[in-house]
Amino acid sequence: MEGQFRVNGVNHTFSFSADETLLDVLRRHGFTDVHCGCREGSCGACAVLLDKKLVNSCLVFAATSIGQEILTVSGLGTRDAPHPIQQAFVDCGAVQCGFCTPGMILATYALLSDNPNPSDEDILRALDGNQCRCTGYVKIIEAVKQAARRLDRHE
Amino acid sequence: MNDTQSSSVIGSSVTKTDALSLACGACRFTADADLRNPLFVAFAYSPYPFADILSIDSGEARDVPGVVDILTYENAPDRLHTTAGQGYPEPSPYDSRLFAKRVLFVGDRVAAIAAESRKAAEAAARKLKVEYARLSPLFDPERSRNPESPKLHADDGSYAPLPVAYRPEENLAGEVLFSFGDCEQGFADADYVDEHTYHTQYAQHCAMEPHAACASFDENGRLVIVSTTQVPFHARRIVSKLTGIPVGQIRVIKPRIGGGFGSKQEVLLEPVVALFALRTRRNVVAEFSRKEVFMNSRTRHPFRVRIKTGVKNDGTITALAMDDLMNAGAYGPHGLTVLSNGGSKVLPLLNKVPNVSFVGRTVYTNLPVGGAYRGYGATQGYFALNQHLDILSRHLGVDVIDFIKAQHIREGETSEVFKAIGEGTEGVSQIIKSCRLSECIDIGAREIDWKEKRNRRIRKGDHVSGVGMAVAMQGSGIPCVDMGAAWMKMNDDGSVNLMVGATDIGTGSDTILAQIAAQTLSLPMDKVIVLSSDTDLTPFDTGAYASSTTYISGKAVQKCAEEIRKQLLSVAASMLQCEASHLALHDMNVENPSSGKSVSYEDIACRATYGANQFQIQATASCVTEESPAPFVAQFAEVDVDVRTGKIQVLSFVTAADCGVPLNPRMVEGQLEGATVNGISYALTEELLFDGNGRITNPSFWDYKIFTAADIPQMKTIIVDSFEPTGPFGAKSIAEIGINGPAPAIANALFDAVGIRLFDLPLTPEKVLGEIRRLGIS
Amino acid sequence: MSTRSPSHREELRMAEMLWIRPRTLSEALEYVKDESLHVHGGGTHLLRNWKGSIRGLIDLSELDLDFVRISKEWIDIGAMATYADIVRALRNSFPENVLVDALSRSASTALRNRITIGGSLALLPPWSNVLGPAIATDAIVSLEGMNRGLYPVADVQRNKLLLKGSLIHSIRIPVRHSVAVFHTEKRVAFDYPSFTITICADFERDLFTNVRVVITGVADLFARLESVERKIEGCSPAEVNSRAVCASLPISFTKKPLGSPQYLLELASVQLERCVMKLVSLASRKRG
Repeated sequence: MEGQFRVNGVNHTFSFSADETLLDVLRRHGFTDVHCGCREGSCGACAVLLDKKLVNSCLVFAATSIGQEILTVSGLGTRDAPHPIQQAFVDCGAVQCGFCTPGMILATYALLSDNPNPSDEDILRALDGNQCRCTGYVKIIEAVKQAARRLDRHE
Repeated sequence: MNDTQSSSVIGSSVTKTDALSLACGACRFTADADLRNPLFVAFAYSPYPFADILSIDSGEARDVPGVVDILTYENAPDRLHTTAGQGYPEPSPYDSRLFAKRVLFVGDRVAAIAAESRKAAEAAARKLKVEYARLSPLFDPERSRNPESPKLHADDGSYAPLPVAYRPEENLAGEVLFSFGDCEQGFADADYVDEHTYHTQYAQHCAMEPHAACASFDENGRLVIVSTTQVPFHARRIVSKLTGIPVGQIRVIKPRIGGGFGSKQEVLLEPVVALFALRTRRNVVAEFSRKEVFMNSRTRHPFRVRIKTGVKNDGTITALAMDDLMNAGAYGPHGLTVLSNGGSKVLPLLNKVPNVSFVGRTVYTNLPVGGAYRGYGATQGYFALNQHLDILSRHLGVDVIDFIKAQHIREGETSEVFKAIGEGTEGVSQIIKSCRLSECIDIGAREIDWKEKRNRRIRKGDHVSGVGMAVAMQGSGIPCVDMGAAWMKMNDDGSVNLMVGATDIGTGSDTILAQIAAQTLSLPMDKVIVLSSDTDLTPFDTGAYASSTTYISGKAVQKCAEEIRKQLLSVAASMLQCEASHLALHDMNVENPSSGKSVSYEDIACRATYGANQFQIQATASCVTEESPAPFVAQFAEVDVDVRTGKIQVLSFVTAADCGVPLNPRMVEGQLEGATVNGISYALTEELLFDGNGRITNPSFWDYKIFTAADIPQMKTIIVDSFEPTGPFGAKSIAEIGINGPAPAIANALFDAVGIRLFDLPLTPEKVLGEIRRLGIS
Repeated sequence: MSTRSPSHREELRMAEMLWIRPRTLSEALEYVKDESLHVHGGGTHLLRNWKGSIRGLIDLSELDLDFVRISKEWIDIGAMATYADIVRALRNSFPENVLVDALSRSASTALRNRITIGGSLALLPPWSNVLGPAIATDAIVSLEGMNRGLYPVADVQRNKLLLKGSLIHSIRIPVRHSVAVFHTEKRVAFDYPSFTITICADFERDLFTNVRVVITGVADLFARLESVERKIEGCSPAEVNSRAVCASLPISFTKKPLGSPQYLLELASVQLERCVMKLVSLASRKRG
């Protein structure tokens, strides 16, 4: 199969087999910032934004994403121009091994895009499908709050 | 002369050097390697716990389009080895072959297939026809040594490379026996004798990144392996032994790693990709699925710990006997050493007990294989000891806090256990040079409101709350065994390259080691460029385990940096025409405080590189120590127990730790918080479940439950003021210890809340409710 | 390596899965007749349980089945509406609706953005919280195709043959002024339920009527607890004795990772009792 995808603001034409997941198609085309942790929607490491909604790319057929907008963490910001959420994660010590980090950051982005002033409960719910074994989540939660504050101040 | 720096790097929560790259998705993990046209590997595993392979018919498998090569016991090297990443010769038995001819657990490796696509490899693995003759399996470790039990390794040539206790004819994978004093007399002299048996469960690391390895060849035909390894140098050595390729013709590189916690201190995939690469001259990639991580890698060793103590009315412990039985599973990597740590990291805490005995045995069963896991035996031992101390203190009618404060080892003290139990070789005597455990206890107790909450059984409807605590000590590397080394060179602009074998698996050791170099050389962090864990480009390091990196690799870096410092001063002295002893470092300058003259590192480097008496400013250093200073921790749990469902909820959790000087406080907190949350789910929700055939029935996050953010309690982490004189800038280790306290603290809090004590992990609601019913508590 | 002929190897080559994207409902229904094809509404169940290869998928995304329509009497939800879609569409107008509550607590954020209500009802993936609330709110499934018609949700569950040659088009829920309680029994926050309990009732003139008590996750998949319903039906909140109501439940469980059948039964009884108490307390507050 072939289809047009818009990934991180750039149009791509991908060839893939009909049963391939969005995760595998993205990774095969160089988007290795989308990580594979479990292939069953439990860990959240593969999360991307699909038409602005957070999804586990391991459970999405690439074929259903044709023509849609996909955001991966490398599209959110770069080393030279990081997004405030990425910077907040760095500053709060919320990044240890970094494997869960792309999914966490995109989950945070999905949350703050929809709800710039989240309650504690909103934050926990937004991250409810993202597992981390390194940090114990404490600094990740701080980072989300810090990101919300910083984004709020710049508006 | 004293160096100065406008802002101290040590003790500062500087940003982790790779954090921004990771947050922007710019880092490459093993599975992200861009290999040209690789072959993909899939495995076939045994469906039976114990069987002989009668035949393997690979005809249909080979017919699958895209299949290129198949390895089984028939054509793979059959050399016995251990998969454990440890110093050589290893204290673990050589009882493994790459592919089994006699399978020893459900999940034992039968074959590997390399194909043009992952799909083809997996399809071929399914089409492999293996004929088995089933044997009667052994699952109960208490029965392993019975004469009538089947022996897993009695006649397959397995042996121990070191002169340690290893008796496969008894299913004994390791044994540690020691005692001093006279326990029998001690028990006789006691007013109370308590004996309890504790059990810990099969659990798993659940690093978010599954194991992976790639093999390729560089332009000179040398084998290059990139893998998710905590132990690149051990991996290189073991691959060499199994392939016959000399060590010098193999390069192992560790890229970013997505967590290890001990699971990747094991050489599982590297030899397989190496063999396929050598046989096919193709690039080869192997990645475990999450199911394979659960079923076919390594687990935490389950322990049975029996503790018997004699106690006098005045609180003196007259005797302590610990009898451990550890389930090694089908093979014995890390068997002896985890078993040893169950005693060696636990018993020294109570160094005033005059009569002590430790009987430790690890045995084979037809079950999944234990390996290294954060805590490494201490976790299991402390689950038992801390509950036992809680029991003793309640007998005596004293606060467990006061009881522990009176008993624990202190600065200037030692314990006979240090010398008695090593890691396969003799132990090394230690004198504690820093210990703030009592302060940890006091601070933590205040933080959780211990006095207000203890023994109160505060009841709200169906809920009762209580508090419990636990203490632990660990070590900082394996004395006289672990070695780390560093190379440094200075560039024209005064920046330094720091090459270390030390293995950053997400822990941030690259950052910590850079901090040590930066502090020693009065450099800002961005002038220290770290390259780590490449067996061609970095010197040796045992790897990321035994909480060794900060202390041992850190001291190597410090030594190395001090050599660089001498060279800087020497060149500066000739440039400023004075004695080196008149000079000091300050913010990338070498100054003569009395004359006010200074010269920049850049000028020094240019002089040394291009100017006169040219030489490369560079240094090397290694470190191995006889010291392994213990960090200490006191951990407190406040729990709420629903007496009608048995569910335990941890309301708040406090950790107070003594890690010497925290070189990077925020990163120290990160280690403690991560270890603590892992410890809490280990206490409550984690368990590998088995069917009657020894097969894991929950090999996925679906039914192996770990916490997400919504599950964590209120957490407070306190780093207590301390200083370790032998450590780099006063530091000790911190990576493992936080995982040791939660399970016993929660179990003790459960007792405080409802008066029931559970001796087996995990503390499931069904067990709690069962005890509540049994004791008729309303 | 292989002594077999090349053509033999060709035969074994895995056929590319068919991806069929019908543009109209009748086109889709033609394909649904072919039992070797799987319906895919955008959900996650198929991939989670991927068994190797299937001949083809029927992708329903062109059929505009992701609607949520509110009228005075009904809420109509298209089969391809995701849990997130449904929660978003209904949470302001129906903040206490038990379906909204249940779906918002299902699975995880990312999964709620993909799990569809039609897929959930057809395939009943473990983390679907939809069954209990759907039955308890007297929801009706609209099927198209061979078994075209309107069916109570429970009937579709009990008789899976109804789905043969048919597609779930939508689900229709009556708008009722009711009080409702939903409980999902999980080990940790992100978990599929070991069981769920849904209680729905009308509450007017201080009396509970049209009481529905549904438990899912039992040995028989789900059960309407009519004996419990009878003890609440026609009672005022003050008259309901939650402990008596929940004694001797006619249900059983199989062993689950959470615990033994005996423990699950005891736990379910306790949770049901607590749900009844919560129902009483909600009603009391409504009364004012």
